Amino acid sequence: MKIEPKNLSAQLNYEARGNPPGAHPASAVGNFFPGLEFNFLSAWRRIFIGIEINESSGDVMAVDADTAPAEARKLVGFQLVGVDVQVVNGEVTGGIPIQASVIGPNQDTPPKEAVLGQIYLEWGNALAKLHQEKGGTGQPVLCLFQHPDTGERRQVSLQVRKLFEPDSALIARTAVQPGELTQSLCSPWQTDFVGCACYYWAANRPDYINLWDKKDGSHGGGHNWLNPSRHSKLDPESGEYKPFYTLESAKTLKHEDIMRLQDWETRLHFVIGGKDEE
Amino acid sequence: MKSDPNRGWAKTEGLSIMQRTEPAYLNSGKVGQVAVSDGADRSPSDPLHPDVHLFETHLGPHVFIVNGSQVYGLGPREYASLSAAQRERAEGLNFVLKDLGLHSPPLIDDAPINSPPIRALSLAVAQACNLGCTYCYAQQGEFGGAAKRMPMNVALAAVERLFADVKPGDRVNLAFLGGEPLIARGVIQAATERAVQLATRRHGRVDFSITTNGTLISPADADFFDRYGFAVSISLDGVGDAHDVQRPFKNGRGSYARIIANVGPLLARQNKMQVSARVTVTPRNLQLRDTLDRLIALGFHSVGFSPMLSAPSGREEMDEESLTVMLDQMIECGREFESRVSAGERYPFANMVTAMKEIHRGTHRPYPCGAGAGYLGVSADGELSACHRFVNDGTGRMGDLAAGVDLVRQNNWLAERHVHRQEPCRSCWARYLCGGGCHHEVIHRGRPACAYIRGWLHYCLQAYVRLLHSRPDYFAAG
Repeated sequence: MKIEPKNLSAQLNYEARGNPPGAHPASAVGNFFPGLEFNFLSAWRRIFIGIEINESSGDVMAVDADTAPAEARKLVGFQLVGVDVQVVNGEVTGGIPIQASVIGPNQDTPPKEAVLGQIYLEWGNALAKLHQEKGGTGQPVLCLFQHPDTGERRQVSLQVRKLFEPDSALIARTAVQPGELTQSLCSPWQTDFVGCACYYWAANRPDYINLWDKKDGSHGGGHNWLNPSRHSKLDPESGEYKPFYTLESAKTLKHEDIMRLQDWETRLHFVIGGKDEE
Repeated sequence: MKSDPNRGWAKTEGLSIMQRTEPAYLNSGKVGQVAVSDGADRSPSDPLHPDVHLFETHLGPHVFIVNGSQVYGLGPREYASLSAAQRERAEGLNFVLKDLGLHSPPLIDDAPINSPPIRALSLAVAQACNLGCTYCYAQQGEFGGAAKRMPMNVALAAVERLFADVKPGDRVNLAFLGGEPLIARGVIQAATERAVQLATRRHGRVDFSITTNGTLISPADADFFDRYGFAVSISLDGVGDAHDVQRPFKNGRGSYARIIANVGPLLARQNKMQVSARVTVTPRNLQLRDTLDRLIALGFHSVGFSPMLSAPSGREEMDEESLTVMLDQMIECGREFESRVSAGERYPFANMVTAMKEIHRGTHRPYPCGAGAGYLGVSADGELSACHRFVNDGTGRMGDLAAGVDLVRQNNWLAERHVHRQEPCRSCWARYLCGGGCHHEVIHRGRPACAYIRGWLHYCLQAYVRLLHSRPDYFAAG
């Protein structure tokens, strides 16, 4: 089959074979929940130069022969289990844990709590600080890999990729391939609906809003979007009450509020262009 | 900054995609006609099905999906199944469209727009003119009545009305027409300055345009137009005699030499303003390609053609034969545009520039223009009408400045003028590009130019596909 959408309206409306209805702008999740239409986790796949890791399982999926160090060439099939580890007296220690232990009752009588296994959470987030410090610097980071079947372990020094273009918030072209950011989506359906519709605040929305500047142009303040009441404080310079940011828990919306309240629509504010909708 | 030569609703008359032309089949002996296997004389631009239009290019077959004005390249199998299905009724075609992923919910329904806010006004600041053009819709400027000038208080009230609903960030257009608007220069200047004040106060933006015959433009006018970034449209029907025959002074003397002497300084200093030429095409000035090149050479920012379809005098109206010649000429101009743009050159053939932009965007609309919707005309007496052509014409009356827009008349107009209510538009593949044709011309003469319009759009679709292939950067620039 050969169909090529040519003009802009065709590109918007074409229903490519195999694509679900949600692939259309009119029915896409981002239409209702801006920010959910792409998944930044995909960018972590190439956090280490030369290898590609599954963003949820930590499995090494591919190795780039051109950029990977020699000792990384045969890592496909291994899993990443530790980052920035040290080797002390031949023992691997420290580092950033990127797995969490699953703890639960074992089958002893009486049952006792025990570690049942390891699970990957959003390991990318655990590496945010490392990325900030070493991304793009060329400094080596010692990583620990383990084969899930044989238990074989390997330590490999890798460089941390800068996930953003220089001096920009744009995701680096070298970090993701076209289409990868939208290969997986957040799913705000079914039981997640209330959480996503009412409480979820996507990464590309502001959580610091209603910003205002002082007369000299410097930043004055703003609101935390989670404050159901938009608190104000007297600004001595202008003599006016201005938006005031607070994290005080008593003044902050909590998930229970959303679940219990029948009037969440009135307590939550739409924010457009960084300001409460008028 | 040079912006779109067709900006502003008020001045789109004559330049919009639907009033331009269309194709003739280039390899056919008789323009616009080719023989098909059933023996009937049929043009490839003729409507076969209201929902799709198939067309060929050297890059392969393509389909124009009417819903959403979508353009797709096709493989031979897809082309064959669509070609067969378009000869059937709606159900069969819908099935094929769904199978190919080309079906989407209708983007235009039967509902008319309702009481839209005013976004553009044109002021007939002078219902009088110093030229005596035979075909003039304003009947030598006076719209069949007495010569009038718009009083200052009427002009300023119109400007106030234009800004009445403007919110921060909104953009409006103020146009000056006539007759010959420069007969009332003082009113133009005062209205412009008031509009700038109001735009500043309301944090909005106003664009200005003027359509003039060019005979009264002074150096001071040039300063004024440039200061306020006017889109200046000069009515020129050709070069030299070709123009003089159609647009003489009332005493019969030619006006071309005077216009060129006046316009020269404007053309030389298009900083904030843009000066374009608008050519009304009659059976007497059909040498478009020559006209286009010569006017471009003079330095006009753009040059556009519009066929004379309806004249109160009945004179100079285009007949079928003339429209066929015009289509041929338009395509010749279009071919030159393709050639120049492919070579990276600027070639400001306005009809083509507009068509390429609109097709690329996939513009689809149920009306030909904003007339009677966001755009209204204001007569010298302060009466509102559907557009600048409906002065002293009850069919387009829309209230007056004092009492405001007559919403009943406006909404009736919008309901009646919706393209789904027009025949034979409902069965035509070009209906959302054309919108049904100029209301004024259709109401007064009907639709004599459908084959021409479809022919032009058919050619433009082909040209779009070719240009998108050869110069994708032309479209990437937006």
